[in-house]
Amino acid sequence: MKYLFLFFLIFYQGGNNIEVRSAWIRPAPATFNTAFYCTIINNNDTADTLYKAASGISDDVQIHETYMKNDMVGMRPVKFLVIAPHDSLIFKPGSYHIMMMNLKETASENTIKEISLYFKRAGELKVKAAVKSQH
Amino acid sequence: MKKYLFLIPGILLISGCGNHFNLNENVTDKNLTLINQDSTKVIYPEIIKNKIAVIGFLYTHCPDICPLTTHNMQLVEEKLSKDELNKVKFYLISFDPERDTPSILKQYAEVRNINMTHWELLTGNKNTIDTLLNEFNVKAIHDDTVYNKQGQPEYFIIHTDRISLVDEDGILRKNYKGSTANPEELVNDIKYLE
Repeated sequence: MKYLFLFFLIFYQGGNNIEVRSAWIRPAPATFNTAFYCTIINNNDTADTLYKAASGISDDVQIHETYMKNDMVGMRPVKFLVIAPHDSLIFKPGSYHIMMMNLKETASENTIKEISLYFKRAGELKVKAAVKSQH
Repeated sequence: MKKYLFLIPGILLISGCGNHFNLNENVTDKNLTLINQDSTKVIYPEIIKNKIAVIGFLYTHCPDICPLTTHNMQLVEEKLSKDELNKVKFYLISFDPERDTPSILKQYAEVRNINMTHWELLTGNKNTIDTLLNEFNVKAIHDDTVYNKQGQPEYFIIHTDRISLVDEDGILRKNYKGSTANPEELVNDIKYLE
């Protein structure tokens, strides 16, 4: 029985080897939209998929990407993003970002807000992000 | 003929002086009433004349590109001296007048610590804003509207990514991609105009 327990412990640790670094959020008043950015590093031997994000400061949180066509820019939701083994995915201005809409509270500069990122293998990762004007 | 050859370098030099900028368009031939972040009516183009105008175009529901444009303009402001700043004014014009009311613009400015001494955020009725966007060849197209859990309309806007530089006479001299504009380039262009 103890070997079965150890097996699941190792499996859990291996599947949860996802790091989130440099997390930050743009300041915005309540009812505004804002964006969350970070670098996600997959240290596992297998790919993982980010498919959802959630936060206590917004009821509408979506994975988004900014795209450019000629001299026009737009945004669109993205259903999921796959992070290859031993690879990273960067959420940055002008690219992928987590959109947080209609904020329930003001995200003021120099505060910390929490966001949950959901991965198919790693499960839920809770991340603390600094609110700042520009990284 | 040969005796006039020495004039050629001088002529070339003089003709080259006007070519620093790639644009020379009058953007002040429409009289428009706009509203600023304090709900004060202002008249365009009077509001932008007699100062060098750095104009960004945005909508406040945009969390990604438009804040970059604003940030780049703030970087330009930081790099100018006090004397240089006295000759410059920064404007943010919203192409989402339905949602970007004066109080929304004011909140946008406050949360970004925008120094209102040198800035003005502008909105107006839809027809007025459309006319103004036309002057600058800025496009803003609404995406599909959805309704959030609170029953409020949510839509995104596909838009031109733009900062425009207008001289004191209301002549558009240069356009930049707002989100990726090089603040140093803008500062140099402003100094050229001063």
